[in-house]
Amino acid sequence: MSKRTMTLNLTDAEMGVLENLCAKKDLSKIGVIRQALRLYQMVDVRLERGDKLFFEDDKTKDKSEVMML
Amino acid sequence: MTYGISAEWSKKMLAFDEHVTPGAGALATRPHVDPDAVSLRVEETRLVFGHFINVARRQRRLTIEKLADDADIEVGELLSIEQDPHYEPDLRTVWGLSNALDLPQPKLMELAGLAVPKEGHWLEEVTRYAARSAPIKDVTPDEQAFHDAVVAALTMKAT
Amino acid sequence: MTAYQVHLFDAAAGAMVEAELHDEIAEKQLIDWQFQWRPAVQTYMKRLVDNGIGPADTAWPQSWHWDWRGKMNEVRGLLGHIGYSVVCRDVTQGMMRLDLASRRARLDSQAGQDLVYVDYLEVAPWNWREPYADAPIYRLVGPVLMHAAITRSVEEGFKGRLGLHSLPQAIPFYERCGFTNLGTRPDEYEGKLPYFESTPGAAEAYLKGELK
Repeated sequence: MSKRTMTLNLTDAEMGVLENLCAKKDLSKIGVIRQALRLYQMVDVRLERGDKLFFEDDKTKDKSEVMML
Repeated sequence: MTYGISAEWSKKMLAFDEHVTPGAGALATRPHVDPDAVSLRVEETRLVFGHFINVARRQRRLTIEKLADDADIEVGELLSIEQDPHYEPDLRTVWGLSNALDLPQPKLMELAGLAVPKEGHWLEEVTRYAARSAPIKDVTPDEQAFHDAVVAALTMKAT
Repeated sequence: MTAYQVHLFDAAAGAMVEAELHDEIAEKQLIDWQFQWRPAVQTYMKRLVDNGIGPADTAWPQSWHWDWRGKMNEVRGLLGHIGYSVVCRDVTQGMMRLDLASRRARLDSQAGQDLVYVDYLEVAPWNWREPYADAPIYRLVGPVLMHAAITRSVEEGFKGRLGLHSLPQAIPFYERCGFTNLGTRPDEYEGKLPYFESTPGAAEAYLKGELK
């Protein structure tokens, strides 16, 4: 599979978050970014279909709307 | 680490055979249908279903686009339901139509051939009614010409 | 598409046979599913009915109605969902669809960690072990797919963690794989499919072929 190279310029805060996620998930930076891209695309496709993205409170079963187009 | 698998690994795994069929994932939502009961009966009821949806839509003065939109289904699907007797509608499609037309879902599923009726007589009655109520449209000039040509060919004496 | 050499067991010949693992589910697989798998399932179901078995019986094949074409259309173009297939003698013998990104581990020792989730896994009907079915033609299709899923999990940095909901008749298979059975939940798949997870330890043992 051919790969393409990109340089990312992140702020200190952004890099901080990325490094935290890497540590928490025990993934490399590219691993975290790949997961983020995959999820972002999945969410985008569902939103386009008209679905809504919710978080549900596990105890109360209340839904709060997270994202809309 | 590689995706290739050696014969040695495979031989080792043979010893751990549980003699069951591997499988994973969600069961489909389509209700189970006895394949014997499916056969001819379903083709008949699907004809009635398609005809009924067509009449129900026109009675409510809905275009195909509007009903498809209300039922959240594709226009192509609705066209197939109304016009193609071999078309097998989806569970979700019939559910959408039952909502859009405000009709009881379980019986509509039976009419659509997606569920085995617990009591089958109502389907037979509905089928008979459909046959009786089919309109007798006037034959168009083209159709008349076609009819005459076929009759002439049928009655032509062999030479 | 990349094809990797794998080995299945040809039951009739009583010997290993070379096969291919493909890192995708392509049109060829869907054609095989539509024109070879599905008719074989219909034949099998007719045999069940002839033997007096109907939908309410536990012997009823649970995956007969899966629409693989629909399942792959659902995820077309998505990076987070991928397919693998096993082909032998130019016929598709098994397929699986994976979710790389949207699921997280539940087992206490790895709760919240990313893993590879098996959305769907099915082997061709002529390889089934079911009552009234003919003896399987090829064995090891399931293990080959599991090996691929675990390998992908390792490649992603998830250390071999896998998650899946097992079809009821396949439970002994995943138990033998060394996966942990976390049971069913009433709000998941109508409480019918138990959820299994593999740990890095179980995955490593599996890749080495060292099961207990």
